[in-house]
Amino acid sequence: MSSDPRIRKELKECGPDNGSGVFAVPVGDDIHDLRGEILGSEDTPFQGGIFNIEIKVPVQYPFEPPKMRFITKIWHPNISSQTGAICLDILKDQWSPALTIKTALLSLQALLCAAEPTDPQDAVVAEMYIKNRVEYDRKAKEWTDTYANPSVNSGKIQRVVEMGFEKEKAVKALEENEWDEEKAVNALLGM
Amino acid sequence: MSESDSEEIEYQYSDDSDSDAEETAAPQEDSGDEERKEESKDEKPNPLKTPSGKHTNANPNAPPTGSSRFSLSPDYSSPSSSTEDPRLVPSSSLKGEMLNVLEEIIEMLSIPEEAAGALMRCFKWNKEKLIASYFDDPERCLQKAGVLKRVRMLEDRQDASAPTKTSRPLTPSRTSPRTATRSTPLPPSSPLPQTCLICCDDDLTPSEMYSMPCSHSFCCDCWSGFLGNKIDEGPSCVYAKCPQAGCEEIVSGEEVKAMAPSKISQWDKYELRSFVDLNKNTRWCPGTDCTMVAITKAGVGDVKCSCGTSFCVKCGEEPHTPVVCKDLSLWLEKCQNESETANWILANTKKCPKCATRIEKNQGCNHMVCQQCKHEFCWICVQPWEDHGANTGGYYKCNKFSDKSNSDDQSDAAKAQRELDRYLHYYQRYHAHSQAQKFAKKQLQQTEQRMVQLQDGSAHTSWIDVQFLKTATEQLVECRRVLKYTYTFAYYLDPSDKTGKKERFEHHQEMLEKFTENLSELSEQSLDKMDRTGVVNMTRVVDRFVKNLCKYVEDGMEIED
Ligand SMILES: [Zn+2]
Ligand SMILES: [Zn+2]
Ligand SMILES: [Zn+2]
Ligand SMILES: [Zn+2]
Ligand SMILES: [Zn+2]
Ligand SMILES: [Zn+2]
Repeated sequence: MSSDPRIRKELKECGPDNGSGVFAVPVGDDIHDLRGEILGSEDTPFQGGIFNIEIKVPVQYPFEPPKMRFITKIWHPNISSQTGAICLDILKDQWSPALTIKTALLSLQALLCAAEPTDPQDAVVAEMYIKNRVEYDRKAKEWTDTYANPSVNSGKIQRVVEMGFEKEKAVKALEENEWDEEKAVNALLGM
Repeated sequence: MSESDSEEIEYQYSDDSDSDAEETAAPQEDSGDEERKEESKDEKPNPLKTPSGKHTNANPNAPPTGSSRFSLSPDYSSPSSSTEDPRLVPSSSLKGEMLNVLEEIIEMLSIPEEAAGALMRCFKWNKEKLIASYFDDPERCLQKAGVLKRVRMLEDRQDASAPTKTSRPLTPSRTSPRTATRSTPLPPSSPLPQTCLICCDDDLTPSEMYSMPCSHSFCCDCWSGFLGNKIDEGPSCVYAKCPQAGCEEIVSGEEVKAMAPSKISQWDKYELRSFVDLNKNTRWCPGTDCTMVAITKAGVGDVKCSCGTSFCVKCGEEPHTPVVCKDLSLWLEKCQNESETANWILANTKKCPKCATRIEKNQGCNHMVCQQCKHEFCWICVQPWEDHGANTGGYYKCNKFSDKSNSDDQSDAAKAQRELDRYLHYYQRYHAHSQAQKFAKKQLQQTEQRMVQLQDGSAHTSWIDVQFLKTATEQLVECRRVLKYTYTFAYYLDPSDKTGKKERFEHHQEMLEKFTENLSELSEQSLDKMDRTGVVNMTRVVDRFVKNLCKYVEDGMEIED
């Protein structure tokens, strides 16, 4: 059985502006290579963030789960801060062919609201989540603002870059100075 | 078998005709305790006496439930081998055994055939545990095994055929509408098109749909794709659940037969494989592509398979007396972790300590003689060989670990260094005997070849004349194997032991090591130079020492012989 008719039908139902806070579209012509998007829920450190997800739909789909990975950097116990790999049961052994790409994305959105630090993907993040929740929330928000929010910190980064600094160095200086533009610039100038 | 913490020691020489072999019962009490505990635990619920009414004496042939472990029925084996434990059988011959167990369960619990396999797998083929759980809370037991709907459906059918019987209260599953299956299609008066949630086809007739007893229906093509994919994934397919997300109902052979008939033989194979995998009393022969299975009642012991592989039935590793399975697995893991550190020490060549000529070790014996300067030294410690000899009163003095470093230094780095030194001491010797064991195995093959040649031609030596050499080499392989594991064993002995146990163990080890080196040297001579009587005698002596050492450990290292 070819999975293509089902994928097409699914894509029709989870295109942009479907009102659910998640969507998926093909990257190019291949409907097995998708790009998903999740909005961070309110009252979480991910609020205001837009997270991009790489979605590879295997040939055996839907008998095998879609392979998903965060492209946008995110600070979360069940998602690797390095690779974006996701630890979520329904993307592994709890997958059922009656689930869809949309339900999987919605499960990811739910995962952002309720982390599972006992089954971590990123040990460093999980440890912080358990031992210092305040610091975790702060860092998760910082990462959301830096990497997932086109308006807040990216504006600061943009302004610092425009002053003639490399983007990587600008981000590092801002991070080290708690996103205080003036302090960051002073640091970059060695003052 | 890692769940068991028992310290059972496997006695390879339990068939030793020694009259004092009976005394071995005492140190075994660890395993004995475990057995007794399990027995009393499982004796509580006797299924034949539970107030379930219809199950009374369902199976008069059911074995007593006292034994905690499911044991293969005694009439299964031929009379001659029935006392053999462990024993080996071809896996195909276990199919009947598996079906017998299922039959018993089906009759005892009045459940449909298709539910029995999943139930038994859920309880790792421990019949007593299943029965206890079932009579404690049948609903929960069936739910846990993923067969609740399947069992209830059979009961509903039985109820339907006997409508006067209304004893059971309504369960939610009974009221839920049963959608079409092939066996019970919807009446033709309601030809509403149906939707398959997998392929999203929304124009399907009821006859194109199929469902498991949980009533989640999908189209036949999707069922076939789903089951085929699961079976292709491998042995875990026997745990596949209904395709509906969140549904816990387990797939059975019934669905495979109906929707993926070409895969049924593969499915049957995986069911049998899971029977052997899960059963506490069975273990696959670890030999490459070997399909023999070891069966054991006691759960311990070593077997030799017809494919040539010997293994411990409890852990599947090579027989490893005197080390217990748990320590062996710790040791193997440690060796893997430390392998890089240990490698520098294990180069296959060493410099002669006197003239610095590189010497390659190509024989089993640790007694090295430099071709260049004739200096004799020990391969392991590179000390002069005469220091190891009886004439200096030292015997084989290479087995004891002496902490030469400054043990006053209590810094973490110093402690770690001492621990590493201690490990390397044992690992080096473990590895040396392991290499020597491999060498002796090769030697054994050559001896066997030589025997065949001698049998064919009529040389000066007859076949029977070299039989002694085969026996000697077999003994050598055995000694190297035991010696190898004596170092694993010694590593896990308390280093600060003051009771003298460790010292006595090292004495036995030293003696065995000394005589093994002697036998190794004697049997590595060419045939024409070989001291035949010497080899025969040394083989006997060494055999004695192996048995002594194993017996010493077996006796809990309390009794001096
Ligand atoms: Zn379908
Ligand atoms: Zn179901
Ligand atoms: Zn075998
Ligand atoms: Zn073992
Ligand atoms: Zn030399
Ligand atoms: Zn030595």
